[in-house]
Amino acid sequence: SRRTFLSAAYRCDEAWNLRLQNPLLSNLNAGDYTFDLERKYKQEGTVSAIDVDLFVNSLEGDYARDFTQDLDELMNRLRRSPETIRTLPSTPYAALRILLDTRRTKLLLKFLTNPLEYGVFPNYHIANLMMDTYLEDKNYTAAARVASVQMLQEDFGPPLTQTLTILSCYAYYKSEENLPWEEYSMELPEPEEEVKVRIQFKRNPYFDDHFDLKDPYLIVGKTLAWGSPLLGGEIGLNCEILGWALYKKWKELSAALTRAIDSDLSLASSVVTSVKDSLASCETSNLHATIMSHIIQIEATNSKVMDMNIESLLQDLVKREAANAEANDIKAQKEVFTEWEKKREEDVKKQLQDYRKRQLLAEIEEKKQALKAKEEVIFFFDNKDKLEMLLDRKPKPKEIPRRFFFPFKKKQHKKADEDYIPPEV
Amino acid sequence: MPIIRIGRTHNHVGMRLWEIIGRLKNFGIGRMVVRSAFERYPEPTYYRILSARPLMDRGQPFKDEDNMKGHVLVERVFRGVNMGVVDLSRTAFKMDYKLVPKHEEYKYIQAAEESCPPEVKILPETMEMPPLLKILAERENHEYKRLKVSVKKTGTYRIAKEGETPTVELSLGLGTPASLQLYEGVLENK
Repeated sequence: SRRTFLSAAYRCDEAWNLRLQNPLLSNLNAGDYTFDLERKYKQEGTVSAIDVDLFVNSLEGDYARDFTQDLDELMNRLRRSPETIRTLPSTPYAALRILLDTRRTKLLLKFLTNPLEYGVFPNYHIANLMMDTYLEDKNYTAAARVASVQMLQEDFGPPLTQTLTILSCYAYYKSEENLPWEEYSMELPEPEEEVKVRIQFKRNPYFDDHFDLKDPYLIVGKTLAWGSPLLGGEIGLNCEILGWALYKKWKELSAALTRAIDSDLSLASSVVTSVKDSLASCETSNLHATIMSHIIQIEATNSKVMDMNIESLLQDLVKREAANAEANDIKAQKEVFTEWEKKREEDVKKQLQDYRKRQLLAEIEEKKQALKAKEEVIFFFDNKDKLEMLLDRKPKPKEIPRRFFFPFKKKQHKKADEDYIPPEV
Repeated sequence: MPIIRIGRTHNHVGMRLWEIIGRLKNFGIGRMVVRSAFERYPEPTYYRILSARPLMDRGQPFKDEDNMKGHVLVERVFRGVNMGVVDLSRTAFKMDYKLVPKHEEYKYIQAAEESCPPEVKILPETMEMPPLLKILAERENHEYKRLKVSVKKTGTYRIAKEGETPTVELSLGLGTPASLQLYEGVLENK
C-alpha cells in the first residue's frame, strides 16, 4: 500500500486535466509549436509569456519526455527576457507538475535551485505534492531540497506545508544520504589558458548566509531552525534545537536550550546527542562552555530527556494537518485552475490583438507610402521648382577608406609575360 | 585556469539589487533591503521594494556584468527619515545590497521610529577676524571689527537668532593638533 500523507484526491487530477479540453491546448501540437516558437525567437528575438504557458500546459504524461530539453530552453529564455514580469502563474506550476509526474527529478531540482535562470517558484499546493511524492519515493535529498526553497523564500505557508517541510528535512537528516547536493551551475566553462579579463568593478567577497549556502546540512539546519517554531510545542522545540545545531549558530542554540530548560517540555535523546556531536565544531570557547552547561543541566533534570521517535511524531502531525486542510485546499486549487484558464484565454486574445494592431499599422504605413509616391507623380509639374532646388547639390566627395589612402602611387608590378625568355649573357 | 579579473576596487559589500530580486518570488515586492554603505550612519537606512521590472540582461561572459538593468521603485527611509517613493533603477547595479530576513525587519523599523535627526548646531553671529585683517581693522578704524558668519545650507548648522546662545565655538587657531611635536615653539608663542 502506498504510504502517502496526502490522499489521491489532493492531486486534483480531473480538474487539472480539464485544461487540456480547452481548444487552445487541445489543438496544440507540441512538436510544431516548438518549431514555431523557435522561428519566432529568431525573427523577433523574444518569447512571450503566454506562448511558454501554452506549451508548458499542453505537456501531458509520457508524451512530455521528448520535450524536456525544449521546456528547459523555453523557461530559461522567458526568464532571461524583460517578458518575465508577465509570466502567468500557471507556468511554474505546470512545469513542476509535469516534471514531478514524469519523475524528471534532476530537471525539477535544476528549476527550483536556479531562480535567476528559471524563475520557478512553487505555490503551496505543488510544494506539498512534491514533498509528499519524494518522501514516498524515499528520495530524501529531493524532498529536503524542495523544503529548503520554502526557507529561502521565508514563506513556510499553511500548517500542512510547514509540517511537510520539517518532516522532509528531518527525514533527510536521519537518512544516510551524505552526498553534497548537486549544483546545477549555469555558468560557462572557463577557458583552459589563463585569461585576464577587464571588468568595471571588482566584487568584494561576501557570503550572505542565505542564497549562498551550499552545504546540505547547513541548509537543512536553517530550514529546521526557521520553520520549527511555527509548529510549536515539543516537536517544534526539538526540531528547532536540532536545526540550530546543524546550522552551527551557537548563540541561537544556547538561547533555544535556555528556553527548553525554562519550559516543561522534554527533549529527545537523539537531539541531545546530535547537539553534543555538532559541538565539536564550535570554535568560540565561551559559547561552547555555555551550551555544555545547558546540556548538563538538561540531562540532570528528571525526565527532561526522553526517547522520542521524532520522525513518527512528525508523520502523525502531517497526517493530522492533511486531514484538516485537504478539503479546503482541493476546493481552493480547483478555483485557481479555472482562474488560470480564464487568464490564459485573455492573454491569447490580447496577444492576437497586439499582432493584429501591428499588422494594421504596417498596412497603413504601406498605403501612406504608396499614396505619397502617387502624389509625387501627379503634382510633379506643380512642385517642379521645389524639386529642382533639391537637385542642385554638389556631389559628395568619394569616400576613400583610410587604410588604402596612399599618398604616393603604389608601384605597379609589371605582369610577367609567360612567353618571355630572358636573354643569355 | 581561473579567470583573472582586473578592475576597480571599491568598498561596497553585498549583492546587486537585481540578484536579490531575481531570487525572490513575485520579484521581492514587499521585502526590505538594506545597503551596507549606509551602515556608517547611527540612524537606520532601509528600502522597501514596491515594484520591480528587471530587464534580466546578460553582459559579456566572465565579466560579471549580468543583472544590472531594470526599473525598480522603493520606499526609502534614509537616516531615520522617510523619503517616500524613490526610483532606484540607476543605482540598483551596485554590489552593495543585502536582504533583510522578515523576522529582523522590526529592528530597522523600530530604530527608525526611535531615531531623531542630529541636533542642529547653532553658530554665533560674528567671529574673530584673521590676525592681519584684525590689525588692519584696528589701525584704520573700520566700522566692523568682527567677521559676520554666514551659513549656506541651513541643515545641520544655523546662525543663532537674537537671544540664543550658540552651541559651537568658532575660533581661529590650531585647536589641539593630533601631533603636538610638529608644533614645538608655535603653540607656546600663541
